[in-house]
Amino acid sequence: MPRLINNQLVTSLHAQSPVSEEYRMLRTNIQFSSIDEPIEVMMVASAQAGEGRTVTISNLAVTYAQEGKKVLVMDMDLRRSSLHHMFGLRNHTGLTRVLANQQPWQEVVQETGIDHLYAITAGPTPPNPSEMLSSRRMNALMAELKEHYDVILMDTPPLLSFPDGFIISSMCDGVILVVQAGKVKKDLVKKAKANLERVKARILGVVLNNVKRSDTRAERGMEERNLI
Amino acid sequence: MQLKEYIRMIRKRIWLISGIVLLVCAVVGVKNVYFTPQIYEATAKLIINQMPRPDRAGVVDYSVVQTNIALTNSYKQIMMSSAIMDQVVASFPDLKVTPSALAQKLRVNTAGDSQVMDLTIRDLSYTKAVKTVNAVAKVFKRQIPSIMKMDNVTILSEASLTEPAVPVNSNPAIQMFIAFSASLLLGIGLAFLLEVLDDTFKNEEDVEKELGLPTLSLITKMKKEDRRSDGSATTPKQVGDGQYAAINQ
Repeated sequence: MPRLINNQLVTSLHAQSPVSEEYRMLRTNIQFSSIDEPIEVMMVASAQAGEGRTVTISNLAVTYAQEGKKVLVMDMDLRRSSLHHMFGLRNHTGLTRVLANQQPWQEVVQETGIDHLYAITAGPTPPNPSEMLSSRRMNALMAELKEHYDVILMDTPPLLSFPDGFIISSMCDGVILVVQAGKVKKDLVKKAKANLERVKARILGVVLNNVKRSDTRAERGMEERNLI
Repeated sequence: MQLKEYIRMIRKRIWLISGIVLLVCAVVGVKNVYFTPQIYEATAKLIINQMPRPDRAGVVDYSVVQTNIALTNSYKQIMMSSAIMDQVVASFPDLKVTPSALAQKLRVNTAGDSQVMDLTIRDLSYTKAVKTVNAVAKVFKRQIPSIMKMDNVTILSEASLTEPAVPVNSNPAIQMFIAFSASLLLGIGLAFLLEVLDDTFKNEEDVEKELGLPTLSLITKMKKEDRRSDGSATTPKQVGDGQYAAINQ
C-alpha cells in the first residue's frame, strides 16, 4: 500500500535538490560538532510554534537513514503532534500508550517506508504531558531505545509555550535550535536559549529555516557546482 | 554598513519601492491630465507718455520722463481701484465678472524704472483672458483723462487672440520628474526603516552575533520544484538510495 508522504519531505522525494543538500549539510555539521562522544539522541526545538521543527527533524532523520544508520524519530510533542502527518502514519497508537503502560514500545514503533527509518508517533493526547515526559517510565524507555537505534531524533513542543522541551532536553545529547528566518523576534530566541542553558542543555547550533533563496551561500555553492 | 548591504536591502524590497514609485507617479500623472485645469495668460502693455509741449516737440525731456515713471506707481493703484474695475464691468457685461473678482485676477507690473506697464490676466479660457485684459486696458485709457486731467496713456500692445494659447501651469514633465524622485527617495527610506525595525534573524551573522551559536545549516524556502518528486524516487521504498550512504561514509 503506497503511503501518502508529505511533500515537505524533500530529502526523500527529491534527494538531489538544493534543499536536500542543506539537510545533509546539517547532518554533517552535527557529526562534526562532537568528535569524541557521538551525538545519538537529539531534539529539535524552537522558541515558537510554526518555525519548522517537524519538517526539519523529519528531513534530518531521512538523511541519517540514507547514510545507513538505524534511525528512530519520536514525536514528543504530545500536545499538538504532527510527525505522523509527515510520514503518512497513523496516530492512534504511540508514545503515550507506552508511557501509560498500555503497550510495549516494540508495538508502537512504525515503519516509515524509508529504509532504516522508524517512527514513534505521539499517540492520543494525555491530560498531563509534562508529567508523562518527566516520568521514570520515560527515562527507562529512552535507555532501552538507545540500545536499539543508532540515532534518535525527537520532535518537541515550542520552548516558550510549554516546559516539555526543557524536560526532553535532559534526555538528549544535543539540542538543535530551529529559527525561522525573518519571522521570529531575536529576544524570544534569546530567551529560549537562556532557558535551555539554565537546564544545562547542550545546544549544538542553530538551523536557520525558511531563508530566502538568494541569501544563502549554499545556493551559490550549488550554482557554481552546476556550472562545472 | 557597506554599500553591498544597502544594495541588498534595496533589492529585497524592490517591489515595495517600485510600487510606491508607480503609485505616486500614477496619481500625479492622472491629476495632471484629468484634474488640473489649464490656466492661460494674456498680457497687454500700456505706455505712460505725456504729449510734449508743442514748443518742445521732438525733444526728450528728462523731467517729463521722470514724472511719467513716478506716475506709473499711482496708475497701478488707480488701475486696481473700483473706479476702473466698475467701469470695466459696466462697459463689458459679456465678461460676466464682478469688480472684486476682476481686481483679484489682474496683475499690474512695471519693469523697473520704465514707463511701460504690463497688465496680465490669468483665466481658464484664453479667449476670456485676452478679452478681459484688453477691456481693462481700454477702460483705463478712457478713464485716465477724467481722473488725472492728463491724457498720457497709450495702449502699446493689446493681447492677441491669434497667438497660440500656451497654458502657464508648471510643466507636467517636471512635475512627473519631481514625483518620481520624491517617491523613489520615500520608497528607499521606507525600505531602510523597515530593515532597521526588522528585529528577526536573517542570516548566519545575526545568529552568531545575537546568540553566540554556530549555524548548522541554512534551509532555504522550499519551492514547488523542490516539493515535486524528481522521478528518481516515485515510491518511498526506493528512496533510501545507497548512493548517498556511500558518499558520506
